[in-house]
Amino acid sequence: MFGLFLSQALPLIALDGLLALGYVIVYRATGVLNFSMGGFLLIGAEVGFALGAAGVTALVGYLVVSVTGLVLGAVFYMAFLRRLDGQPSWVPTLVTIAIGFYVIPSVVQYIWGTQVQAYSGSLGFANTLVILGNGVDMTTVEIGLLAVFLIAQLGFGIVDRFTRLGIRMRATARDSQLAAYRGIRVGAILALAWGLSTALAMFVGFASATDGGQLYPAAGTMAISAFPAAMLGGLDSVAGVFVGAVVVGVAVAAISTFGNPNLADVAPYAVLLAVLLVRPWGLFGRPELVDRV
Amino acid sequence: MILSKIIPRPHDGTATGRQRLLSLRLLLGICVAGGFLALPAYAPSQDLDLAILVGIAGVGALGLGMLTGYAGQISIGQAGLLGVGGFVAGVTSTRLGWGFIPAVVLGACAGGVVGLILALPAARLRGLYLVLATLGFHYVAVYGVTEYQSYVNSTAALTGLTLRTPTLLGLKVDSYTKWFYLVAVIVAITYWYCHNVTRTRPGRAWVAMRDRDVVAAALGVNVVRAKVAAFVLSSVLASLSGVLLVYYNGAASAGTYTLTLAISYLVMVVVGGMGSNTGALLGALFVIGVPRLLTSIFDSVGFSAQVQAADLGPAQLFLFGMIMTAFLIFEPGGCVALVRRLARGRGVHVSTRVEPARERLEPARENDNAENAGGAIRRNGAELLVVEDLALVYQGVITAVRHVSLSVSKGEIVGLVGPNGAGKTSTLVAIAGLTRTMGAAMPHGQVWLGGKRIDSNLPHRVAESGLTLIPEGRNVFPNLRVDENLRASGNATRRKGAGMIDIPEVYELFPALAVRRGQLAGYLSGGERQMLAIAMALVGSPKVLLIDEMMLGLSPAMSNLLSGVVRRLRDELGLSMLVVEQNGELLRGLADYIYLMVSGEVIAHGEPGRLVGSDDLETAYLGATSRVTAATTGRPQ
Repeated sequence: MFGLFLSQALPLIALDGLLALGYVIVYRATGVLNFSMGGFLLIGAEVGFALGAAGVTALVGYLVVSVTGLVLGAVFYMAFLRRLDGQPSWVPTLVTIAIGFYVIPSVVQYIWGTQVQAYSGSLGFANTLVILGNGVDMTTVEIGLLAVFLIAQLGFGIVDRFTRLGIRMRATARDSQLAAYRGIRVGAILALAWGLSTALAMFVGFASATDGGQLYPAAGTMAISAFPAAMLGGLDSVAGVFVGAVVVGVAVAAISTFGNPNLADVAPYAVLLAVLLVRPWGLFGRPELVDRV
Repeated sequence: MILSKIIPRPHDGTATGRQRLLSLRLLLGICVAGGFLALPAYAPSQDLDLAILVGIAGVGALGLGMLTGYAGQISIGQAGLLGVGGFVAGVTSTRLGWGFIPAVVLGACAGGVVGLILALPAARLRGLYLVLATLGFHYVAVYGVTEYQSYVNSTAALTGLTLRTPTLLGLKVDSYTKWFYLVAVIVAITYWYCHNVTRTRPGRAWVAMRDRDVVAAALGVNVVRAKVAAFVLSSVLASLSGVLLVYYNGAASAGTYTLTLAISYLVMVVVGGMGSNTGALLGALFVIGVPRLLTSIFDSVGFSAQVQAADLGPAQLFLFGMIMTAFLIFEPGGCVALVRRLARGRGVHVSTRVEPARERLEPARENDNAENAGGAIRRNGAELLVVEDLALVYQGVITAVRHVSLSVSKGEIVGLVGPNGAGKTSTLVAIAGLTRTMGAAMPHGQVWLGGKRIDSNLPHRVAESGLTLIPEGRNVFPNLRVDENLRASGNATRRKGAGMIDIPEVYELFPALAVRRGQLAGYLSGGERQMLAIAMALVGSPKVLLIDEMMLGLSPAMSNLLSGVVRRLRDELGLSMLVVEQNGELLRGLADYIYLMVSGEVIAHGEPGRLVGSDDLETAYLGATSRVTAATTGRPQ
């Protein structure tokens, strides 16, 4: 039982963690909740599958899809969101909702239809079930995702904390006007934040779909179910992502292993509501209370 | 002249004229309302069906309109709330055998309770926590009603709960006509109620909160209570709409409450017009009506049923998403604002265009005292920064700067003095190229730096060319350490070279900062903060520093210290500085040359010794009547 539980929890942690990192990067820089990640996740999977059909192995595809995401996210910012700089954050958030839930899914449906698609390319590696002992087993892709998550978490944490780029990102997040006065290219920093978030979404979309070899049209909801992890750690906390992903992953896996498996789909949202009731600013976030009740 | 043509003068609307207009409007309104209410007499049933569905959706849209359009909070829980209302009605009708009225009351109350539970924790926080709460709620609610459906029996699991025809006052509501009038009454009451709420104190509180929550709180708005009230009210209306919908459809089915449906309500609010109740109803018409329009277009083009089934859905979603995005970016006021703008023609553009402002400035110029007019620029051959006849207008109407000409020579400290509201900061903003970011325009004026004209450059280009602004107030990043503040600053494009100041040199200039390099800037004292602000500007290796109100609120000792720093920058680094101060006293010993600004114009300039004693300064600062005070507080020369 415990082995099954861990086998479920670890991949969940990886997926939730990578997506939550995307939410936190954008929220820290702009205060916007990036609802477009679900849409881009779907695009990532579709692009990856199309590349696979064209003979590109998945290993190369992961990289191509991520870089495409970086560019697409920056373009998304430049084309739509840049015009809303200086507006309260709910306005751009509405734009991400319109793009992420309506525009992208409709375009994807128009091009690729609503059928479940099978991956027709080669992976470039063998996706086998690896026994990690004690009844814990994970596929190669799942292990890879977990590794990528840990690297991304650590890497972004280091960049954010110690490099000049990270310092400038934090400076821009706090006061974009002063940042512009002090010679920081605010537009470039924000485009980077949106690019990173989109790259994470597109990578996760493709990578997770190669695991089962199938792409479901509703794959975008995966991104929504990562919101609880981002929120639990604190929407503005990079370190919080790790803790949030672990707690939510463990909770969801526990509910579906030891409790009712039917509940697994709503479990993240139940966690989200619970977090909201108890500690809405997250474990590591800073509460910005408007007032006491 | 242009202005008077476009904007009607207030005294045009004489009492009789206004009355005539009013009665005309009333007549028109009665005609439209009459034609609308007589709809069942001549409209085909599918049009009545459309009107009923628009009305039912409109109730929900009015609710979300208050939450999003007025209170600035997003909810994607509309579908879940419709589901709560729908299933309360379903349960009371099928299981308990209750009538229509109890279902409406209970459904609305259930929505209100859900709203209260969701809003209470989320409303305490700034930011978009409510949208996350509603997102979580959506999935939990849909899961709940789906489970309930399969719990009832296997038919219900597939088709949902079947409701009986509602009976109201002994009358069966069983035809399009009856439904039409029932919904029309409910929409009218809802609209009237929303209109009253948004026009009175709660509505104003929401708008204040939406635009500036801190200011709203300072004005005595209980922000938490206002947010909770907006969400509870919108939830009540959403679930009421849900009750009506299931009764109209005759069934409550969990499968209909999708996230797409929830978001379509946001489309209604945005497209119709945020901050307008009429807009919410227009939006409902748009969202319900456009798919029918699309279907008929697809039909008339002759697409096969197969194509329609495959492409109609995506086409509709794409259209909705793009139109919503376009409105958010180009016309946040939605259709209502668009119609208003079209009706007014070119008039709307007046506020954003520059020409009319110039028009207004012209007469002021004639009144100028030729002697004091900013036109004459002091020239000595070594000017680095030259500003010529600068003007700045905010929002197209507020003229902050009329005619300002000044110059700063190499290695010189120039002071810009004037009372509150004289336009000093605006002058700096315009020089630094930040006019547009401040929502202002420069009707005329030129700025030259080292012989190159820079007034049309973008802000970061201006900064790169060597002009650096230190704003008043928020001028360091409080969340960064001192050394991080310095590392964040500077132009990425300029590599180390001649005249470049690096961080160790900055620490040499400011030993006090070196001691505190590991501390968060937010914990620095006022004086240290100003030093850091100057240090950050130096890292960008500027040619000219523009410093705004550096000494404001500092102790005399700290002011002296900072004056010493500024002097050293001039003497040791050869920097040129334009220093703005309200307090002329402070500048007297510091500046090499002083410009005196009042009401957007330079009224006098000269070397400090000569200027300070002059009548101009006293008049500007203390008013002609308070000479006595001036004599007692002014330092002897």
